[in-house]
Amino acid sequence: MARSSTENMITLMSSDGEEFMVTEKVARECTTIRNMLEDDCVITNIPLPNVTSDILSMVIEYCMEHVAAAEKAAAETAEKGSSSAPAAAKANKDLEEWDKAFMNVDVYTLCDLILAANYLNVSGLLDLTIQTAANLIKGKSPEQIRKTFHIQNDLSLEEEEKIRSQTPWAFEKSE
Amino acid sequence: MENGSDLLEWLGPDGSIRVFSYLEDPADLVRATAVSRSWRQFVIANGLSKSLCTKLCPEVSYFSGIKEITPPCTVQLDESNSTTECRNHERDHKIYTCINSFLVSTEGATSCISHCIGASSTDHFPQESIENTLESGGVVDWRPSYWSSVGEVSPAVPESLMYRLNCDLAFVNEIMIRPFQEFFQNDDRIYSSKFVRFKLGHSKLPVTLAISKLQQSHQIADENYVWTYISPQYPMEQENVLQSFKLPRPVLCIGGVVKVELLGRVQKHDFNDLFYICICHVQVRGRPLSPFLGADFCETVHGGSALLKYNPNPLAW
Repeated sequence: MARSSTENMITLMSSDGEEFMVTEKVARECTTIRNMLEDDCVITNIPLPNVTSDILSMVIEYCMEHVAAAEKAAAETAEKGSSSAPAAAKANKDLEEWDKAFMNVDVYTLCDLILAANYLNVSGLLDLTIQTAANLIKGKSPEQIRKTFHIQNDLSLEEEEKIRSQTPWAFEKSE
Repeated sequence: MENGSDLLEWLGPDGSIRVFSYLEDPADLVRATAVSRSWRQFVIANGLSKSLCTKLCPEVSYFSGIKEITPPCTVQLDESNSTTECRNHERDHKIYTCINSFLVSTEGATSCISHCIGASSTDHFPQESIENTLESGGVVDWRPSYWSSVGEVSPAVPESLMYRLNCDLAFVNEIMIRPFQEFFQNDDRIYSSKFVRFKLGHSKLPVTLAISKLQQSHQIADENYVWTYISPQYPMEQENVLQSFKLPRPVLCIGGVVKVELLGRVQKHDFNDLFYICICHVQVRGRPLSPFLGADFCETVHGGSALLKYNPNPLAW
């Protein structure tokens, strides 16, 4: 299988001018880029003025990992004629673990990743980052949420007390 | 966050709404309103409590709007459009947060049937009337108390019992049914049905007609009702106990009508070799939303929708 040698390479350029060479397959994980390639198939250099180099390198890392996982699964299916369910389940679990570790970032990076995933339209990464952000709110007290997102509390004591007294059920179980 | 800006500004309205739409517990949404003014404003102005409520309890989308009950003496304040909009957002947030709170906990359910509307058939009226199913004891005046269908040759013929709840808007958690066991025959037969299914909704009949007891067959005809919820089918045991059928989640009964469908017959009577269904007792357990919230059908009888009636005055909640 001679694949990498014949595959088209695309250069992605971040807002701060750094260039990233990726295979077309990896670049196509971004729907925004895929649409550009479909409109104009000779394009090889794509400037991305909305994404900084550190965030773009993370997006590429995510896309590469997911393309590799999909290729591995496809190769196994081709080899054995059909994919074995336990092997597929394990591969899925491994990828989930990888995603989880990949999301071990601070909130600023997380927000930048959400914006980049949205702009480049990487649906898997967008779901993952949004879910991670939502998990930072789920089951947390207002004070914990403020701390996580560095938010200044500008509600008066009376306003906060009013919310708590009107909806006590919402404050019984938070951590 | 960075440069003193907030997560909401950082992600923009679309991104922020996406994050909030991943919250599934109504308590998370309420706690978010206690984080800061901008968070509170964001949750309220974007109607996130209503969106979550519609997701958790899809039947609320049956309401086409909100009808606020204002005391006749209140003077309408001369407020600007933006103030009215703001006030309406606050009001909607309050209403849907209240509905959401019923989904968080199922505690406090009480028996909430007000009266019987009718049965699909009755073998001996009034000795075996549906009214008997409101008695939990199973015995009245030293006689067994139960409802009995007419006998049928085919075990497939269904029956139904229809009840009116004590308010037009209630969360129903479970329905309890005890089939009737015959004492006289040697083998103590139990006339349960094979399956049960529940329909919740409202009557399309004018109120005056719905009260008259004369046209029972007309009153329970399915075409005279709008069912805003139809439950899955549950198998029923042929056992003389109060059997509990828990709905998959608390379900809003919009209009206060509950139809118990008894599907399939299992027991023949020796006397005439016909299949019967007999029920001793029915209980609908739930929590009324009155007096704060109700349903109003007057203006939209033909439209198949209703207004959510909101009474801001009875108590602070």
